[in-house]
Amino acid sequence: LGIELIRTAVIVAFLGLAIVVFWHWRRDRSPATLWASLMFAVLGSGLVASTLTPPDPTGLDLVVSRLAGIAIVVLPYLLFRFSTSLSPVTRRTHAFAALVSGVAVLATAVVQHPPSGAPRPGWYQLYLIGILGVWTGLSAWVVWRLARSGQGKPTVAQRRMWTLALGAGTLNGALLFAVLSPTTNSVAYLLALGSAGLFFLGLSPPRAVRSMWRRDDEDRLRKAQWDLMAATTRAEVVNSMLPYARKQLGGESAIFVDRDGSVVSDTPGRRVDDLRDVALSSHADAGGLDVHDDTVVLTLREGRLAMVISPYMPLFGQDELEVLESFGILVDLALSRVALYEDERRARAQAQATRTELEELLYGISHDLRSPIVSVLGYVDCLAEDYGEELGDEGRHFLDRLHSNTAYMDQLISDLLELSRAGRVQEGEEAVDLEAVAAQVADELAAEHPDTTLIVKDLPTVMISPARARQLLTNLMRNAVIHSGRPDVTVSVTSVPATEPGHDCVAIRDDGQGIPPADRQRVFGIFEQLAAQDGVRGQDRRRPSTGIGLTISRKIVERAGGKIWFADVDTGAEVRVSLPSALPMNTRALGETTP
Amino acid sequence: MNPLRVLVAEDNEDHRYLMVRALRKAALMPLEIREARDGAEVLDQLRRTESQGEPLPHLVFLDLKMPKMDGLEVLRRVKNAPAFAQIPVVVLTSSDRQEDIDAAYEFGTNGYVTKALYGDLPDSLSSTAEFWTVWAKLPGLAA
Repeated sequence: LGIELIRTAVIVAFLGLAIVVFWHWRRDRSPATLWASLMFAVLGSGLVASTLTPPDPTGLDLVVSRLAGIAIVVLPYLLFRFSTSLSPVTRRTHAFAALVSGVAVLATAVVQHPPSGAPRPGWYQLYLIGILGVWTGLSAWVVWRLARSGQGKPTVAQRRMWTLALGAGTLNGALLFAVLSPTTNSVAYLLALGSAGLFFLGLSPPRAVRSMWRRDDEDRLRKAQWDLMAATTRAEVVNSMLPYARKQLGGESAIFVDRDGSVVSDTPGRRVDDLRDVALSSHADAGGLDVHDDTVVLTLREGRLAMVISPYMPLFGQDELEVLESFGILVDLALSRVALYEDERRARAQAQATRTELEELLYGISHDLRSPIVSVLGYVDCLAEDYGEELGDEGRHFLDRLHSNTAYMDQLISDLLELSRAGRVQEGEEAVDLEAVAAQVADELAAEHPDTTLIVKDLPTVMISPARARQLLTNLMRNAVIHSGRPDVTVSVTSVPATEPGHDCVAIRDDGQGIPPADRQRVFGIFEQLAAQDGVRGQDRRRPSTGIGLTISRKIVERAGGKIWFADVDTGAEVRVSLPSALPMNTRALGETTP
Repeated sequence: MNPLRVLVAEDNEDHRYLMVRALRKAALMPLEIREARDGAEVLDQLRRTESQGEPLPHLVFLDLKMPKMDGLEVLRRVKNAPAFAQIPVVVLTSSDRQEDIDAAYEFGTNGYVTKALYGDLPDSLSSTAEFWTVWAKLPGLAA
């Protein structure tokens, strides 16, 4: 009864396999699944037939019994066809397998089986050995080929190949047992049952087994995803995708073409030269896969991936293809992100080039404009020196106005140039001791304006470009002197409490005529010069005021990350400048508590 | 007293006139001033002077922006020619760009004066000329 049960289980298992694989075939229509399905159907029905016939059959039973024998003998040939439809072999190999199997089938059809229990005659033994030889030879060859084909394949496909090879080997062992032992043998049936299980695992592995097999692939996927996220150029995205996709599908050569049809990157290998045409001939929509005999094309929004794959893939790579499809969405996201980056980078480079060009143009214009002005000023000086006596007071006054207006124009051009530079030129910031700079500027101003009093006291060290710091203090201190409206002005440059953490604040204060509150914001605008001070312009003949000085100052301060404003004072004017402190905040706090 | 030989290289006619005038006006000694209208002319004059065995200039004032040959290129060639390398060359230009100043010194200029052909210029030109011809006393310079 035990044997009957096992035999029934074996029959059910193989017939079930035939149905499962046939169902697979209806989906993928590949010759391999059809051969496999046929093989299991033949094996299952052969077993059924041998169960139904009595030990010594006659009449119709004999025909059924013969058919069962033929079914068993033809089995390795079906296995052979299954494996060769996955990886083709030469015609000669095909012919040889068909011939040997044909002879075996023919012999099985005509041979006279001795009655069961009776001794086997010599010729019958010879027949059995021949059949077994064909059986074992073909099966062993198939097992070897399947196992070898697994090498270099993606993990799941590889494991499935090896499982199939093991299944074929086990089935072979089962038949050997059955044929060699004269009585019905439970070991043979158990082996057959095991082989059915292995075939099932190899041909249609359950989800749990697949995810176990795929653990290595998942690590690889995670790494590829990480690379995708880190990529900043299109080539980097594609170069982190290609190796993954290749490994995932066991591909040989791969290529990525963008939407314009130009190759972004390729991995050399078999048929790589055809791949571009293969990619472009695909009609799949974005996200779609186009699987051919040995190529696969994945269409993305940003381009197409084409790969030469192993012939086993259409059968075994369904999972891999699905994973690749969802991976494709990530690649698309990465590619559109990178496209944004690249656009931005290009725009920035272009803006930079335009700025450089503009600066060159400005410099050229200002140079050419200044040249005639310099000539005019030179000739005005000549005129005053050589003919000043003859011109009389009024004539000399005209010359003086001519000179100061032309000098003003010269200064205007210089300041405009300086303004364009102050905002644009990136200069290294460093710790600058404002006190030393202000003291130098004060010395220069004192020489030019002997009646003024200049006080510089306790200034901080701030982060700013040294050249710009000097320009800033010169502008502000000179402004205070020139626009005060009195020659004996007192200008003080002192430290005042900071208005924001991490900054230091400096006040430049004068006791001049001051600036009406309504105008205090306006004076930072370009060309803004308050009408009341116009008359004072002549005070400094060599450096007439253009009103651009405060605009430049604001640009310098803002560039350094600071702020500039007019303080609310009743007499005189007070400019305040807040700049990032050069000392770390904690050090400064410590310094403040120390007496 | 031998006159001080000065070569003024300047393409702008007005600037050249004003410079020469300023030099003459402030000079403490007699001057022999020659003029060049472009960069190539500076080298031509120097070569001709040398080949005719005449004394070379004591000092060259050189504009940077000139046709035919840029002032920096003239400077480079003068300073690389063994026969002329010791002639003091002072760049006189309207550019106050740091990169121009750096380049001029890199190419071997002996001085850099920013052009403003009015006000203090005569004084600064003559003191520059005086320094390079009377006080510097460069070795091997023919008097």
